[in-house]
Amino acid sequence: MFAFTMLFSMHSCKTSSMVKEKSGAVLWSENCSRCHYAPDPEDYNDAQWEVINMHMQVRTSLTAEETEKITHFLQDSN
Amino acid sequence: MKFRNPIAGLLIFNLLFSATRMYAQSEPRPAGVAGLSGITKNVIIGYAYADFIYTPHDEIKTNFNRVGFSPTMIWKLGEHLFFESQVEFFTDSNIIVTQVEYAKLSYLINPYMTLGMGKILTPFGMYTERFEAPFIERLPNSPLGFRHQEEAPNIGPVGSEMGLDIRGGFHLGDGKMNYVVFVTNGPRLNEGLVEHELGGALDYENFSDNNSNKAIGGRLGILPLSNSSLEFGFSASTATAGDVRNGHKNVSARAGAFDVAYQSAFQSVKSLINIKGQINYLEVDRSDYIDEHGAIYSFNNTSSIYYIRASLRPAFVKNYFIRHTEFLVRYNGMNLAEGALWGGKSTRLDLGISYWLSLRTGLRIAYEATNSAHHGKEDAVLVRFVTGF
Repeated sequence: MFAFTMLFSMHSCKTSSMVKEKSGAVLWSENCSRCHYAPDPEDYNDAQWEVINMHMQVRTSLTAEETEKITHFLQDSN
Repeated sequence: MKFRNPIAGLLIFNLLFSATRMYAQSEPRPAGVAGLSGITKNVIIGYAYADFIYTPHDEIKTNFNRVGFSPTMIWKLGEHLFFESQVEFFTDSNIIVTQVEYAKLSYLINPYMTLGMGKILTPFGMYTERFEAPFIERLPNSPLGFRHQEEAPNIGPVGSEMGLDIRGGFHLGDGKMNYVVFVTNGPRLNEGLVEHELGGALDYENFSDNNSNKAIGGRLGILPLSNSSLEFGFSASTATAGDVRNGHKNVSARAGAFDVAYQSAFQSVKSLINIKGQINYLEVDRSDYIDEHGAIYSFNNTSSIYYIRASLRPAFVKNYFIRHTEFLVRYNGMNLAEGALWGGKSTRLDLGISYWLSLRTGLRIAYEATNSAHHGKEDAVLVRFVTGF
């Protein structure tokens, strides 16, 4: 029953519009300094940011949407 | 997992399957980048550090006591497949230690669920997975009891274990939640037959299990604020720790943890403020052990460790030197089982300064004052030069 509630919540709980509209830059500033200071976007190239952010998604359970937006922001900024 | 209601089971299966299918279908093939085409990509990151210690009350007062280098290889093997591994090389008591800290293959099943397996940093609390790496830990030492040490009691899983985990994160309104469930070989009970002084202690880093029971645990993390500045989490695990081949085979252990992390900018003091803390609690079934004189003894085997750390970095002042300086204070405690030969209460106060040469390179200096159950009062000054790359 707990598993059903968890899965149902994942599908049916709506993310607030304020959170949905956050840009990659905002998500980067909010999430990427929670443990360590965030490296400069220019420290890595586009392919490296893809790998690093997948590593961060797995390690810290960032949502898939957050990871995608942050990756695009970093690739546009390097 | 048994479903008493087959309709509920079908609904759960359908939700899981449809989320996975939508995730697989929505992933576009990434656009080619000149000179960097292909799905497989890898990076080497990691950290390196060098330590110095001053212990005014010891016979040998000064020592360059440790050097460490930890390359971390991370591979994106496809849109859903990821591999990561960290190898540690460090000096310790005149030897060079080499170990695989973790090696984990992960499959992103859908946006909310990732399955990983291998030697994993046990996702119990936050410290081990997220704050323990020397370039992230802003003091030149780890909180008391929170770094795995051989031949010392582990209070909850504080290192890496062989096993698997399932994890994910999702939004809930303005906030977020994340979860992880893990299954590992679990702890090994030290029966005290060889190391009498460790009878009843647990060691969590076991390459092979000593029984058929696996440790099961997990953590639920909650980020209630829309800017993700606050996260707190609850962790639990249970396992049989005794060896199936001897009289301790029914000894089991239950661990719990609460962790908190908060960081924010405060323009009123032109500073970043960062607060972190965790408490681990461990309860092991009562059992009999033999001391070095051959006498049988037992004790109430419950222990806890905790720390609370606060830091302030005046990052918005004009002075270049001051805005790159972070001031830290941490209070640590270990309450080890009374009656155990390794038992007793210890506390430590750490006062430190971290000077940031870059966003990932720091010179850290700390004064630590320890009141140890077995060694009385001790103090030391630690210096660490560390970089993350």
